Amino acid sequence: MTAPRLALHALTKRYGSFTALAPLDLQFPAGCIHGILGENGAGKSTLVRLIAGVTRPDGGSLAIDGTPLVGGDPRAARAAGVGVVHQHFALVGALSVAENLALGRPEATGPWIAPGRLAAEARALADAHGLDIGDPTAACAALPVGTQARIEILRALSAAPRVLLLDEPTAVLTPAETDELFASLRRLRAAGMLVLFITHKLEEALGLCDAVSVFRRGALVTTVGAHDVTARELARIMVGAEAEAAVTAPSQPRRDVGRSPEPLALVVRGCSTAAASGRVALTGVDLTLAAGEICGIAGVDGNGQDELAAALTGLTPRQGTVVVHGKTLAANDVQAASDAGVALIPGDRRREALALGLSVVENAILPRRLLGRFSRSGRLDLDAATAFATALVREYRVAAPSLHHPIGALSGGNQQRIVIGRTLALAPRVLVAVNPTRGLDIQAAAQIHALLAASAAGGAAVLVLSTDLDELARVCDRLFVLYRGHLSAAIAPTDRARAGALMAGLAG
Amino acid sequence: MSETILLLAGSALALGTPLLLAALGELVCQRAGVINIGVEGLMLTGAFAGFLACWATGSPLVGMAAAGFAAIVLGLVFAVWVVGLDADQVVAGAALNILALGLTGVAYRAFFGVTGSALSVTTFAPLAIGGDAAWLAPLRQPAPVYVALALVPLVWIVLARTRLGLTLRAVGEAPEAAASLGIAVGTLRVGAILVGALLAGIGGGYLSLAYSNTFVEGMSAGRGFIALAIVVFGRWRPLGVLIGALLFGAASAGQFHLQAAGVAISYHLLLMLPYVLTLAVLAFASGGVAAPAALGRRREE
Amino acid sequence: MTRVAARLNARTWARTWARAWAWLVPAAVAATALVVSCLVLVAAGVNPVGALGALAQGAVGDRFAIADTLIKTCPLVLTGLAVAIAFRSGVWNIGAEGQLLMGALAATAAAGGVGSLPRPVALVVVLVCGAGAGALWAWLAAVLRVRRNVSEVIATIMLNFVAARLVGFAVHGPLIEAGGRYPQSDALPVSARLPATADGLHLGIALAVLLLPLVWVLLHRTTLGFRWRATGDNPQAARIAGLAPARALMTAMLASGGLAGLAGAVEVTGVTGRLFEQFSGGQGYTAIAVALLARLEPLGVGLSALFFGALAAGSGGMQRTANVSAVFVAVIQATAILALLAADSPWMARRRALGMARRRALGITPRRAQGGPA
Repeated sequence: MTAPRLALHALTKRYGSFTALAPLDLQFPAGCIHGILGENGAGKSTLVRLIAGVTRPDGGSLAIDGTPLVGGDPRAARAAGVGVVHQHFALVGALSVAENLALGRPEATGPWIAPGRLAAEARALADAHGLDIGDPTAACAALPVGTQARIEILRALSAAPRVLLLDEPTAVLTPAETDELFASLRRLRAAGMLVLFITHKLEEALGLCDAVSVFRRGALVTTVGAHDVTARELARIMVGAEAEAAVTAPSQPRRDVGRSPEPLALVVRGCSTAAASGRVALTGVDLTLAAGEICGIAGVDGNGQDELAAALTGLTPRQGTVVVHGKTLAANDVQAASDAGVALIPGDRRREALALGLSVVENAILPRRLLGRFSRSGRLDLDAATAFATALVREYRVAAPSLHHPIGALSGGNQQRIVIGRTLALAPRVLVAVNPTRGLDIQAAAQIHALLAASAAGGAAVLVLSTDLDELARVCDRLFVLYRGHLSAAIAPTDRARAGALMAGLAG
Repeated sequence: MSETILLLAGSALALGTPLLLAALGELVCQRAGVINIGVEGLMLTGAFAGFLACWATGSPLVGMAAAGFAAIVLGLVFAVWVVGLDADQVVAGAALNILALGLTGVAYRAFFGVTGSALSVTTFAPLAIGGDAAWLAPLRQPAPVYVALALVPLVWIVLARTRLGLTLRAVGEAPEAAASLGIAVGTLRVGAILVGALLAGIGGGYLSLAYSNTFVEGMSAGRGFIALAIVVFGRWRPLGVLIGALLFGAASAGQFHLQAAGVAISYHLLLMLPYVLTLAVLAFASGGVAAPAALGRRREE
Repeated sequence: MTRVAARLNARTWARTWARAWAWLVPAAVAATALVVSCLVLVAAGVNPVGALGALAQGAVGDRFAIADTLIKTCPLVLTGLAVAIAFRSGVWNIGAEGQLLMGALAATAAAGGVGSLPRPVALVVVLVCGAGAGALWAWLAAVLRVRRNVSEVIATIMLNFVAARLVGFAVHGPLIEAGGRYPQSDALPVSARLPATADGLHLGIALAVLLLPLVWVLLHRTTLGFRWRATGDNPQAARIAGLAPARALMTAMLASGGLAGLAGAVEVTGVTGRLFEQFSGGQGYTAIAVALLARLEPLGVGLSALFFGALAAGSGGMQRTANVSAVFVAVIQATAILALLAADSPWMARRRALGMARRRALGITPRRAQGGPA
């Protein structure tokens, strides 16, 4: 009886008094694709980090093909045959493809490196695994996301791993690229590799994996064969019955697409931006939004969503015209945009929305127009600001131990509630929300969707840019797709097939 | 006229060498993602340690070794704070400068008391090249100059053509990615910092053991900071750094020659030249995409 | 004792500990610095007790020493505030030294022209000129940073050297004293001198003390200060929020340079009475240590400046009596900065987080909605 390819025995991880992973016993055979499912905070990332050796376990052990694996040592893990493709690519942007691949193979290349030899080795590797990576001498930062994903995978494969861990690999892939990836993974399974596929997307997991393990709040809930369970049942296991409806409810468009027109809140004509290094340029984006309407823009990261959001809110220069309620906005002018009633919920709250070292109150009044409400001839009215923040916290059910402590101490969901609450307090006429529920659990996401809907009902024109088609289907009246800086025509929000095709650049 | 050019070329090499050494060291350090503004203090330390060792043993070579060693010891403090404790690099570098100033001052007094006249030591003699040929005069420089020049292609080869250089560059661009590949980011950074310290120390040793024959408090006179500017000017490439060091050396030399030629500009205004030039160069050639992506960034960011 | 009472005690202890930490750190840092410095002295073959004793004597030994301490504290308060504002706004202003020199230079130049004015007016003119020159000097670096993306660290340091040369040029040339014997300016006219006591305690000291709470209000209770702190914490978020971080940075530098320039003007009008080379002797760099020890808080700058002012005053005595170079205080400063960095380091933060986790388990601090690592 051969030892399982990967065996976990009583594996556990604690951070202080918080248990990230309860003692886990699990075994995986070779030649299998096994899905690891769970929402944010379920313990999936902790498990990946433990197996990859990035984190040291607090208890238990790991073994590969019967040989024990020393915890907390990434190099030992790689030597034992663990390959990892991380959620956020571990590519060095400034280095070339060949150099990045060489980084992953210390044993093979020796102390001297010559660009020609590296490029040849890169091409050989790509051919051997059937993955197209383009020109090996190109710098990685400038490559499209799908290619970067393939390079990541190739680099993990180049070490001939016995266990391949993929952490949310399809987050930035189009449906077509996802199919290609799945085909490669099935080939690897046939060759005897163990593939651990971490995701929160249920349909995907059931379509690809042989078996799935579901985690919730750091503990393994169950392991089932993929053919023995439906998505609905899985959802119930993952999040509990009450939120199941939110996950699998049939997506209806909120309102009919062809209603009588409301006043046009936002008219964008010919919006174009210049291409910054490694990023795409917007080309002639035309868009109209009526007050009270929620419009969605789908697209894979890196196709222009950030550029569009920045251009509309005056953060970057642009060509073309943007008219808000009849008033033409000057380009590259944040103040003009915010005066006209345009508000932004940024995609990366830690980097773009919050000053983590400042208190909750101070973050609540960060936007210029709010700050103006609480200052009189240059002096800050801290009492009024505190009252405002207290009201905000109460209304949006934010769990904040103290309003005067740094906001960095709050959880992501609570931080996002503050960001949205303060943005809505501005009563914006045009609300641009970028990935508003990224990284949040189902309950928080549902609350935020309700807030967006309420904002629209109150007369705002809401534009949601998201990579999550389910979210867009649930929330939007109309859906567009951004691909390589070009905006498609409107489609029905529930038409996933068409959306997927457009996201991959197919004329669909 | 040609004599002036020859003189200028010679001075440019002589004055550019300490800048070149310090800048090459800082280049390696910055390519690994660490900005060390304590180069100034390291040069000063090297100048004093070199002077002290040479005064004690009579050998400039021993002095140079001591210069490098002392700078490495101080650089180790910086490395522990920046890599081990993840302290802010700019503040730690500033502390390094202040520390070097204090330590060299105290040590100078401890060894030499309060002397009015400057003590002198034996120095590196200029290499006798080309006999008496006048046009070869600029090449008659002390040995450390040639060591510095030889380091330029050496640094390039290591950075661009060895695995060590590749991993170092990866660490400076994307340390988290490098770490996930099993690269020892901390160790590499410490190594890069120490190499930078060694070269800065040798650059300082050159000041007291070749360029002049004595030690004066604060004798580095901002050269370490100019080296920082040269790294930017050279776009973090060894060849660019060489060109920058020679240019700045020429500018510094130029000010002396202007004085000697009796040009009626105040000595003080001429002394400003290197610093103003640095500012001008930075204003027109600054940073941007060429800098290593993770430069100065702390682990926690 | 009931469980409730026990938990209450633990809760108060935890809160007191958290508040005490804010003061404990600077105190521990200062102590560490002194201890390490003792070791350095021992290594240099000097009796540390004697040396430190001479230091203390020179700092607070008699009323002349105390006056000297206060006099040396004054510029450190002003430059410390300058550096604190800049660092808080995310600008590494290492140029307080040069801005101080330019302030002194401008004040001296202006003093030449105000001899006939009544004293209060003359003083205001001279001090404003000094502050303005310092602000201008900082503005140069700020413009380079905002328009040309030049590192303000290098720019301000270069400007320090340029300022020193400008002072040298001035006192050897345009501003040289009437007799032309020494490279120094004429003595400032009486109307341009700050009133002072017999011991040398001048009005500038009161001005500096007054500015401490004023800068606190500026930083914590005005829109401008709010924009500075937001810019320093997260410039990108500040930009998206419409707070114009580039302009905030510029005004922060102007304020910073202005305070440093004021320090220079106060020094020349209140202490030295004339301008000469080596006018500053590194106060602008000490200011960095002052600001850091004060945790970049205006109110802390007062005590921190006093500590370093005492060191500066005592160093003269130490040099005379114990024959230890006055530059030794640089060792104390550097050690203080390094100790501070260690105390603030993420490594230390992690140890404190473990302590926090233990306290949370005791039920002292409320759990976050989604607990766990940040």
